[in-house]
Amino acid sequence: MSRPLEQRLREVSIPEAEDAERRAWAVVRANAPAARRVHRRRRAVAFVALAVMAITAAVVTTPGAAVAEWLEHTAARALPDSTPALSTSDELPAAGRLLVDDAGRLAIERRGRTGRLPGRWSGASWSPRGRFVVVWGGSSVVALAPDGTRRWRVRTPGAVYAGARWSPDGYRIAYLAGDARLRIVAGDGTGDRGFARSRPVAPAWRPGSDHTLAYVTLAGRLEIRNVDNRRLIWRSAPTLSRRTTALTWSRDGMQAAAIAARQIRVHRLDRRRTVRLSPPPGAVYEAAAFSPRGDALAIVTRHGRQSSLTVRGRVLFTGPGFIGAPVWSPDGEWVLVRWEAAKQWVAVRAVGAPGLETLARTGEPLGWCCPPITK
Amino acid sequence: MGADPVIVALPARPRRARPRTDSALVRSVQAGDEVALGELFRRHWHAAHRAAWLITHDPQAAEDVAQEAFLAALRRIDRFDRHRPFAPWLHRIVVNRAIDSSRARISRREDVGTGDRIEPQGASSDPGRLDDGLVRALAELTPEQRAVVVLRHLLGFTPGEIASALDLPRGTVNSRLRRALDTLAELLG
Repeated sequence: MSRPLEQRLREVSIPEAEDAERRAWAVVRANAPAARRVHRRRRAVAFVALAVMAITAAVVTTPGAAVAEWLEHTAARALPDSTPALSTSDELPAAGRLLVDDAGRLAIERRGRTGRLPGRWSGASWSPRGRFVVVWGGSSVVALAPDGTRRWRVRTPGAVYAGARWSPDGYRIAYLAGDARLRIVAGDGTGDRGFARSRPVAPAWRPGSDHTLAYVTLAGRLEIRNVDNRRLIWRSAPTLSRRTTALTWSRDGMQAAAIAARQIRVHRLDRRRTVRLSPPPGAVYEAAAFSPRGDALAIVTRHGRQSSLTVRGRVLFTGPGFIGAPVWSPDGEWVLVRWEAAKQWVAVRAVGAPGLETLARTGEPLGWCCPPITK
Repeated sequence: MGADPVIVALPARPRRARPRTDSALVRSVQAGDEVALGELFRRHWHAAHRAAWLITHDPQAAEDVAQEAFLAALRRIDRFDRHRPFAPWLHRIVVNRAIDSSRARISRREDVGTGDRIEPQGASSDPGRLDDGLVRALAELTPEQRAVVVLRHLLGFTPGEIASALDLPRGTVNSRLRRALDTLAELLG
């Protein structure tokens, strides 16, 4: 070693160091402890008032805007030079089973093999450990085993028009019925009951908590409640767009995002803040989903005839035409989207070495099962 | 996307003749002073990011590790004892997270049967930058060995401080450091 090791370590060039610093500063500044200080100082004299504020108002902050700017900036970047070579594959790039909707016909794909589920349905989703699939169509919600065996069926007061979702522990299912009623049924199909009025956006269960549900009220609020005792955990201001299409939770259950065409609102429960993300001028958000392994948000954006998939501010894939909703692999390494114009699925590696694979498929991926069970 | 990118400005340099101590900056940060936070970030980001990258050899992981370390430090800043130096506290978080990140990557690679060596990432985006014998030699070490080298020779920890930071016996630190330096010397000539 001709030069001292200390000097050589200090002189090694770090790739993308400047960009990393800029991005990190935006995030660190957004998490400055100012709000917490104020909270702590006043806690002795105004605890009740703050508690009320915490659950009745989502505060859009200047630091939050910084994150939005950062994401907007990075989402608008061109494809990186390290765009991986496109390779074709017959199998999914990660382990697990994929639930697919092919024009109302449901199928489960595993290791290149496809098994069909009986009937035609409007939609479907996995139970938390993949032992069942809940499907809906007409005025019915039905639980099926992966081999197609029907376990139970619930007839609803009106047509089911938004997604049924299974709670993390498997003991509850939330779904939206035709009278704008959010309904709850037990995991064995018993005890079907109305819970709240809701806009037609699929509800989302909070990870890590058994029966806490996020949903969009008719007034345009994001409400987070325990469905058993109705305890209110969080309520945003009534400012959610009428074009809100989906809700998604971060893995730690501390961030809930409401996705709309012109805005993504990330409600940070730990900071009691709301961060607003806006697409570049002329672009709209099509869909977004949090990673099952952290807080990375995969966002599909459409700009004219072009669609892009962005994760952690990096544009991982851009193509002409429509790209479907992102579906994460259970290990959180890959994001799968349907690329309509090419009649293919595109799987993009979201962490580690760049990777991009295409599969000749046409159906819409609904869910990739299942995250490893942790005790 | 055709939009002009929105640039997030880096923290401005403070107009002070005498630089404030870390302790003073931490006190200001605890009081919610964003300028102080900017100065603290600017002062410590580079070392934290460099340490994370030298251990993980992955730009994305390094950024995540250093950023998460700052966020973790911020979350605990109210409880931080200002009489203690800030940098070693932050570096300890960075290095432990970088080791965890590297181990996680290795286990994921083992799951798919690709062995346990970590190749430097990002070479395809900028091959010239990584054409460095030291980086390639470091890649031959385990994450734990890289961590002790970085703590000792980049961040200036003593073996005793390394042992405390990594929760290891001092003898283990010494032997790990010795083996790592022998390997580097052999590979670098």
